[in-house]
Amino acid sequence: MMSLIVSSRNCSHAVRISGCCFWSDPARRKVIKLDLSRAALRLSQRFVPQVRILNYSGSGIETTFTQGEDACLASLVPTLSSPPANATSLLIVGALADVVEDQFRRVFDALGIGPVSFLPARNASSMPSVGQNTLFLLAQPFLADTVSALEERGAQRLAALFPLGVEGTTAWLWSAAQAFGVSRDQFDRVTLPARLRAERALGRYCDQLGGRSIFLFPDSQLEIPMARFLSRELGMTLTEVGTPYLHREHMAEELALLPAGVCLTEGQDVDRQLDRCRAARPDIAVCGLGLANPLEAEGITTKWSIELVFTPIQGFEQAADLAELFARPLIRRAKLVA
Amino acid sequence: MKAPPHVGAMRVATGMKGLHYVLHAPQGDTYADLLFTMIERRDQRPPVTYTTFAARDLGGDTAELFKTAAQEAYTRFQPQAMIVGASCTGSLIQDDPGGLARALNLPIPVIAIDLPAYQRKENWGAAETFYQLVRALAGPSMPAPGTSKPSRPEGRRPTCNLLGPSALGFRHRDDIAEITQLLGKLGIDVNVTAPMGATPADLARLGDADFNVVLYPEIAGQAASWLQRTCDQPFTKTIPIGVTATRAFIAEVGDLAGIDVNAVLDSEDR
Repeated sequence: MMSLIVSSRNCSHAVRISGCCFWSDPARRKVIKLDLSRAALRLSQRFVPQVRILNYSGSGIETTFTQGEDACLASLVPTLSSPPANATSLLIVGALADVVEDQFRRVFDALGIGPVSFLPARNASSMPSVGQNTLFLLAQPFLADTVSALEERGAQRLAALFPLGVEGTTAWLWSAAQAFGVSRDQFDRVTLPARLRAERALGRYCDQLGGRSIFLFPDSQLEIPMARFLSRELGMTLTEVGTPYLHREHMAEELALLPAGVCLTEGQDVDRQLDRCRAARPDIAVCGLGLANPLEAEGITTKWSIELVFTPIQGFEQAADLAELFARPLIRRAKLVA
Repeated sequence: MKAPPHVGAMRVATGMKGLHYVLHAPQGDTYADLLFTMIERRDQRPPVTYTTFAARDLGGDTAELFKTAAQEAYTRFQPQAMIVGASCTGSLIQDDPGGLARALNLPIPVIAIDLPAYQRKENWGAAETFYQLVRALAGPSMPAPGTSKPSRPEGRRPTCNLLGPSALGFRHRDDIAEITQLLGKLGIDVNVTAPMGATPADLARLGDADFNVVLYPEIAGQAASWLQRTCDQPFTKTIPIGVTATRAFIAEVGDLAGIDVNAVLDSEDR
């Protein structure tokens, strides 16, 4: 099996699946209108079934780097097979670390929910099927195109919070549990030990982060669920929540839980955002790599947003790890000052 | 260096002070900020404003987007001079940043840098940008053609410009310190170091020096040739890397400055 090759500058966030070769289409090719899709089709016909060659746009003239994952997954959806009729199945959509995927699979098994499959699968030869009886849950909040593609195949999205923090993970799992007729008693019996353990682990970080202010620059598209977790489970104050792109329907559950009057901004005007950040002097700014050193030089503690994309942060077992990502820069700053 | 030529222009702009670069580029090209703040660990963002047009803008008025970005950059940063151009993707939509910026009638020099993104690379872009800046900013104070250069007044130490160091250059900051110190020991003062640390106003007085030290010909060669033609400033050809070349460099500088450098060369022997 061959593994992923991505050729581009801008679409750095493609998904890794062994046995699948993605051919990305960055900004320049987008403008030149080179027809990669036909080329990919022809190559695919030649090399299938060993290697499947798919074309997707990793164009930097779209929104942001996580859009690369969305475009990549959306390009896979039409290639997925149809399932046998009448079998309701659950599909988890969005790249997760293997360890997180394994944890979720164990929880679903314990709840009696199944069959459960993941998009992307770990291996191109075990990709999920999708059809009218497929219910799916988003594991990542930036998959608008993938959702459209799945809905075109007849699959139904289960609306839920995203699985960040104890509250988010509980609501996410509960949404699937309800769809598969699991009782609340059974749900609590299975999930309570992990929930309590995660809450205990989070307690330590509430002391460190509670009451601190945070400014999220628009970058990863994880900002909104992240802000919900930080404000509701750690007691942080949201100075501003920026997001490159706001999908109101997919974010409805999240938006309902943000504090009233929160400053929510969509899109990029980095100079004005920097003005507001400087004026607010938050305890932490979450930002892209390019802004981090200049902000640090101005005395503002920063967290790289890209770490949130590449660290396993979903689920109960990772809730405290997620909190620690925000506690660490504050500890470092305190040590430097001391 | 394998980056596209507009990154070379960014290296020149970022090295300088009081200069701003307005770049017609899509959002995906703004990654270049990273090079400067992460790799070189600069404490400021490069002085670059991107128009960050998106796919949906391509059907609309990207030219208007450029004009707004240039006007806002001027208002916000109040630079002494501005350079304008397009990144690789930006050049494909053919909006003519130079013409658009001139139409704004900004009260500062606005220099269009036309970089053929698909034929040239980073160093070429840096050299072209520096050359265009020197021409535009030092040009007005150059002597009229045919006038000969006045000889250096008796008793004044010889002066030179240090040309080529830029942002994101390998050890350029250290090289400036080292070579400035060496020249001082030889009895030569540095008039202007550019582009690194220079303002547009500093470029205007490049002609005051007796000669040029070209530390990085890949960046300053073109500008130095122009200065030689236009104001009779000779420039060094030796790159002072290693003991032998550094001694040759000292000898060459001594020739250009008309001073005896044997005392320094002898002292370095011991």
